[in-house]
Amino acid sequence: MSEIPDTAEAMENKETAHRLPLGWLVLYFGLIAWGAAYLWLYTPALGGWSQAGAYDQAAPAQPSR
Amino acid sequence: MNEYRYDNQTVQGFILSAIFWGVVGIVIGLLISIQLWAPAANLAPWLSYGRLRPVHTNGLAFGLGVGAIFGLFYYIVMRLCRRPLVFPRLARLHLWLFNAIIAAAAVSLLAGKSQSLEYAELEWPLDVAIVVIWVMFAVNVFATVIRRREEQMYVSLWYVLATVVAVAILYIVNNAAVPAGLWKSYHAYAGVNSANVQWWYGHNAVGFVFTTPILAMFYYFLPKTTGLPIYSHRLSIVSFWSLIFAYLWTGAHHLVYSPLPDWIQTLAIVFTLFLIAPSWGSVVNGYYTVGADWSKMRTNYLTKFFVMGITFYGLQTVQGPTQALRVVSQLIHFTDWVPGHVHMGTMGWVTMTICASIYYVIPRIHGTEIYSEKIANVHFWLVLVGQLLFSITMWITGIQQGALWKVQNADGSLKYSFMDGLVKNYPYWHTRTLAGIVFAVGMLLFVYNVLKTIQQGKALRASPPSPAPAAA
Amino acid sequence: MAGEIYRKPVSFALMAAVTVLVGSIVTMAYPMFRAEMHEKLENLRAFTPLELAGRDVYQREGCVGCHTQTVRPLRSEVLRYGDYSKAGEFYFDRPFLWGSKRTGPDLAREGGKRPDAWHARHYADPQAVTPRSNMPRYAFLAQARLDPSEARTHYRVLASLSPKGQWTATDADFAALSEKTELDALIAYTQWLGHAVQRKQAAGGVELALANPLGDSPQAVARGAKVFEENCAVCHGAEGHGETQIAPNLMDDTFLGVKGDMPDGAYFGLITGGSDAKAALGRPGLPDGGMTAFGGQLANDDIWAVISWIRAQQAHERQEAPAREQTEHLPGGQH
Repeated sequence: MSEIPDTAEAMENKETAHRLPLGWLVLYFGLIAWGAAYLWLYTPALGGWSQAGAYDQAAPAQPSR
Repeated sequence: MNEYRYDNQTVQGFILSAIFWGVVGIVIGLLISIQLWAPAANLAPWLSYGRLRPVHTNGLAFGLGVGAIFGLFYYIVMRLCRRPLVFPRLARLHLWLFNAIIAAAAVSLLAGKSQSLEYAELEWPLDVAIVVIWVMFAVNVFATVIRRREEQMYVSLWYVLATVVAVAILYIVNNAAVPAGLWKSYHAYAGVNSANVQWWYGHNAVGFVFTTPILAMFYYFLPKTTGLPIYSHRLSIVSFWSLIFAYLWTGAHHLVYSPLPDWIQTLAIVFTLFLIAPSWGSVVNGYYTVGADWSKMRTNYLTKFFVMGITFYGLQTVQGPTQALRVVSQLIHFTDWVPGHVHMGTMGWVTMTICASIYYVIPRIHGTEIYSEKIANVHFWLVLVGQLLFSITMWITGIQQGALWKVQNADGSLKYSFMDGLVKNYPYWHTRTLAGIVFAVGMLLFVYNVLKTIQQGKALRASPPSPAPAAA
Repeated sequence: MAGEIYRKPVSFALMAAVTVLVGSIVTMAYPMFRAEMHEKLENLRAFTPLELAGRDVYQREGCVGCHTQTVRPLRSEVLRYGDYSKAGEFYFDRPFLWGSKRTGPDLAREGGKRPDAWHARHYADPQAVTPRSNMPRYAFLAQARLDPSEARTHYRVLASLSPKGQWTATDADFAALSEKTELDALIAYTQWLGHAVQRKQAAGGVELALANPLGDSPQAVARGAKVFEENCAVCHGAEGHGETQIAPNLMDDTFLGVKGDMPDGAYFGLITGGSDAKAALGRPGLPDGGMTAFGGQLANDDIWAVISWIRAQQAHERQEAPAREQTEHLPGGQH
């Protein structure tokens, strides 16, 4: 087996050889969209959520006697 | 084949050094895994778990990992630039200093000289020395790339250059400290700020030691071993820039539910999840590359190392981001799940890819074939089984721990004491040691195979040359 | 995308540097200039020279590898350890020692939970205190004397990084260190942890009138014996007779340093609230405290079961040895 020579042209298919896979593009932009939503929801200055606030809501100060 | 004299001695020197520190790191890893279930194995103050753990992590990350990165980067850079290193003597000095520093690092950590910053434990004199050798490395890499004889820079070179630049920034900023003696210093940052800087560094040490350099190797050695060109140049481009852009935002996912301001945590979580996309860009690119001819899995013994390596990279880069989610973090953070996660990356992706690259490089340096494909195959299966057993065991006990910590009685009180949770780890920790032994045996076979290949190559050169030997 | 950049390594490297710097600046550098990264709780005080020497030992021995120092704002964590960690508690921490793995328990709220003598025994031989613990022994720390001049250097360097007046040690404080060991220092540091935050479980008062819902049923006593063995015997001894300097005798007629027993409700309040319940009970106990607050860590019924067992045991002892000399044990309750 002859080896590929050490040139960028040989090591890699041409830029035009393949489109970006559709599934991967969906993943890429899907994560960006999800990130925008999450950022809004969980940033105190934007969505109003805060770690301490969530704790106060969820937990009573004392376990019941 | 090669019309230039490549400095193969330095490359091999780094590879052998990396292997040596790798064996040391793995042996210490076995010892500390035993200490977790047998406290009597803390044989002396300097051999106690607290001091040995950083020797294990530094020995493997910087001794094995960075040692292999130096050697293989020099190899890759010379080939892709089609010229020898511009400063071969500097590279040789770099090799000796590297080993001196790792040795001094190990001794200083055993002596308890530690900044208590994960993956940045080394005290300031060693930090200064590391910056010096990194500059030596950077000068050689940049000079060689600038004076290359190949016009286009291939993908691997992008990852090489990004690694050189990013590690320098990360290392210098986080190791800023105020000395209080020759072997003692205090972090330049305090409290919450100290935590934020440390994990900005800590996570990107993973990014720029365990990810970008290993991708540089993957993108170079996969086409070289299989003879198949990388599937998509466009995918390489988008993945590369997205990866190095997003990585630096993510450090605070180590600090979820800590006193760090919420907005920094949330930003980190968002970018961590986004990282799945560029990571999987490389995974998809790798799969489609081999997908052009799956028979390579059978006909070329190294292909399966790379395919398995990129598979674990793919799993790692889904699992890691999932862990950043608040709902997951609150269950598994601080538990044994996390070492399980880390070891899938280091034992599965990083070590697998480095070993395969070394298997490729060593015979070519010596103009010979690998000593034994059979041993390499056994090595492959042992490290695969060892790593899976290790990680799966840790995931199970990690979830169990996290759950036991949370269980509450009907009246709202906790059901289990801390010790109740701890003792339930013991059977899993026994299994983890066993998994480590299986992995270690596999790695020793690798070392044996490499050393025998070198011996074989030397014997070949000593005997009268039949065809012209390939290497200088 | 312009292919030109892949032929120009210097431009390429600059572009890569800019790319990695964007996130670094937004999430790491910019926050440094915000006040929320440099808060300080009013009650927080800097380390004494002894505590700082202990923190140096903590760093040297790599304690951070197994112990965290940050309680997350989650209900189960607050129950187990105490109030969740606040940014302002770490003002003096260079570096932070939050850790990332809990092989052992979190230590952020460890200060004041147990007496010094307990820690001394536990550091020297953890398995003697908690048989199935996997913590290494640190007995050698008791042999290592502190070096006052080194401690002074470390202290002065740290003090120089804070505004004047926060670090107040004098030369006499450093000289006094020559009498101390590394173990003393580590214990002092352990007791420093969490001092700036009110212990949350103590917030509830004590209701003396509470009656034991389990009474003296044999099942309750048997269950109490088991709970006592697992949680209390470590300090109070298997029979409840106490341990010198660690925990008081529960079988004598002294309660929190004053003669005369108290009703079950007082026991319940003290076990749930820990040392901080002493004030509500109006009895002194041991000045530096040390009773762990078990409220939230143990089910209420388990706590009542322990009280059932203690009562049964007390009655038993009164029968067995009416003339028993109590003075061989500690003079009075030291909770």
